[in-house]
Amino acid sequence: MSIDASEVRRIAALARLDIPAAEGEKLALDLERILGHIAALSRVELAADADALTYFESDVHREDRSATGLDREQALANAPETDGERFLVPKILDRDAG
Amino acid sequence: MSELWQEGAASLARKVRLGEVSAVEVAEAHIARTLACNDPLRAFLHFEPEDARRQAREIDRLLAAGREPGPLVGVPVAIKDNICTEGVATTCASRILESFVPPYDAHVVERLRQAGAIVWGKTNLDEFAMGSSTENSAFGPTKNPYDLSRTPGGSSGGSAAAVAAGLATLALGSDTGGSIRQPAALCGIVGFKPTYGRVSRYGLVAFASSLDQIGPLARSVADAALLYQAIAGHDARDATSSVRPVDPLPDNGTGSLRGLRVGIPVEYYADGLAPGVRAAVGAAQAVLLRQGAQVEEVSLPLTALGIPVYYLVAPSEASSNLARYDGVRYGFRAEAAALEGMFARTRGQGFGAEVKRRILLGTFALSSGYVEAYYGRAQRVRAQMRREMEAMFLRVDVLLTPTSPTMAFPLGEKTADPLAMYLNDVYAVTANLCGIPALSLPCGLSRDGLPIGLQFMAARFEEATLFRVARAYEQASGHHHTWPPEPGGAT
Repeated sequence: MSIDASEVRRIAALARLDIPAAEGEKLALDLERILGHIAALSRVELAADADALTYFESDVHREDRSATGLDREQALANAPETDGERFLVPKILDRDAG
Repeated sequence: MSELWQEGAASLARKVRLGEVSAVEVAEAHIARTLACNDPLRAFLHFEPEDARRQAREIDRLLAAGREPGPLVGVPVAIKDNICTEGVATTCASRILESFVPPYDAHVVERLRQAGAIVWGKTNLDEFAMGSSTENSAFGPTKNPYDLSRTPGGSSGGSAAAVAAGLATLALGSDTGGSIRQPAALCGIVGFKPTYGRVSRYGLVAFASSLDQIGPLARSVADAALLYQAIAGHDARDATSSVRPVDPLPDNGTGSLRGLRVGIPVEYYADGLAPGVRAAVGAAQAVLLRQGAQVEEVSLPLTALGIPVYYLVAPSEASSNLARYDGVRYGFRAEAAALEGMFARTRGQGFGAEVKRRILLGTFALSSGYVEAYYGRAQRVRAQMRREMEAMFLRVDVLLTPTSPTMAFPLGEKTADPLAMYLNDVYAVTANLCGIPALSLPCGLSRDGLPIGLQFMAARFEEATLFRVARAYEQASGHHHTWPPEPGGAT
C-alpha cells in the first residue's frame, strides 16, 4: 500500500484533524511502513467461519431503569464556552471564507 | 527496620487495622517520599499532599468510631491519569484534556475508597495510553527508577515508577496492549491485566474498547492480588462487565506446582529477544520444574501476527473513541471562525504526534474501500487467534513467556521510529486480543542492573491459577522486588 502526502490529507480531513503541511511527508512514510508490517495479515488463510467469533460473549444488559445523570451545572463545568445553559460553538457556516 | 513507604499493602493495612500506626502516619511517610522523589522521576502529574492528609484523617476518624476497616485501609494507591477522579484533574497526559476535572469517580476509584485506600494522586502516562515508554506524555517523560536515563516503559510508566520507588504502595494502570505488564517488567514490579470483562471500565477514558482493561501494579504478587480483589466484579455501568462471581484467590499454600502444566510457546523465543531476557526466563522454567510443574514446548503460530492485528484493531477503535474531543463539551478549544475549522484546529493542536498517527491509521483502516481489507480482516484473524488460544488452554494451564523483548531502553532511542516502539509490545498484545488474563513479575536483574520480567497467561477467568503459579515462582525464585537506587540522592 502506497501512501503519499495527499492521501494523508484525505484521511486527515475524514478525521477532522489539522495536519501542518510540513508533517505530511513524514506521516505518509510512517503510515506506509506500518501498513507494510501489517500486510502480513493478507497472507493468512481464514477459516470459513472466521466471522462467527469476532466479539466476546460477555455483553450484559442492565435493567432499563431511569437514574439521575449529571445536572446542568456539572455538565457545563468543563466546557470551553457556555451561556450558563447551553454549550456555545462557532457558527456553522463561515460566510467570510466564501 | 524498614520505613513505612517500603512496606507492602497487606502489612500496612494490618498495622493500621490493629492501631499500630495511624493512616495519617502512613500518609506522612509517603508524602515525604513522594515530595523527595517525584522531581527526578516525574511519576506523578498531580499530587496534593493536603488531599492525602484529609483522606488519612477521615480514615483514622472512621476507625476510631468503630467502622469496619476495608482490606486496603490506609494504603496509598496511585491512579493512572486516564482514570476519572471526582474533583481532581484527569488529563490523559494530553493538552486536549489539560483542564478537565471529572464530575465523578471511576468505578475502580469508588471501590478503592470503599476498601479504605488513600487515593494518592495521578500518574503520568503516554498520551491517551498510546505508547510503550511514557515519552508520549504532553507533560514530559517519566524516568526509570533503576536508571534515570532510561524509560520506565509504558503506557502506565508513572504508576510503575511510583510503586517501584516507594512513592505509593500500589497503583492502578490500564492495559490495552501491554501497558500495565511492560512497564511493570521494566521497573522490576508485578503488573496484572485481568480477564476482559473482570474489572469495570466505567470512568476509564476509552482508548480501544475491545481491549482496554484496568489492573494493579504492586511490589509482590500477594499485593497485586489484594488490589485486584478490591476492584474486580460486576458493575452495570460497563456493558462488558461480567456477572460471573470473582473466584476467591488461593492462600499461600505449599508452593508446590505438582500437576500444573506449563506451556512454552516457541514463537515468543524468536529473533529480537535480548540474550539476558532469554536466559532469565529460561532459568524460570527450571524453577517451575523444581516446583513440580510439567513444562513443555508448544506452538501458537498465529500469535506472530499479534502486532499487525493489534495495530489495526486498536487505532481503529481509538479513532472512533477520540472523535469526542471536538472542543465543544470539555477540554481545549482552538479559536476558528466556523465550526468545522474549530474541530480540525482543536484536534490538530490538542493531540500529540503519536495520537494523531494512530487516529490517521485507524481512520484509514475504517474508511470506505479499505475497511474490509484492513479492520475486517484483522478482526477475523483475531477471532482465529482466540480459537487457537482456547484450544491451547485445553492442553496447558498456563503459558510462560518473556514480558518484553528487552530491558528498559534509553530515553529517546525509539521515539523517531514508531514501528520499533510498537514491536516492544510483541509479547503483550496477544492477551488483550484474546481477552485472557496475564501477569508480569520480576525474574531477576540484567548484568547492568536492569529489571527483567516474565509473563504468565491463563485461560479467561483463570485469575486464581495465575496468582497461584506467580506466587509459587516468586517464593521459590527469590526474585522479589528489589529497591532501585535512591532517585536524585533522596533518602
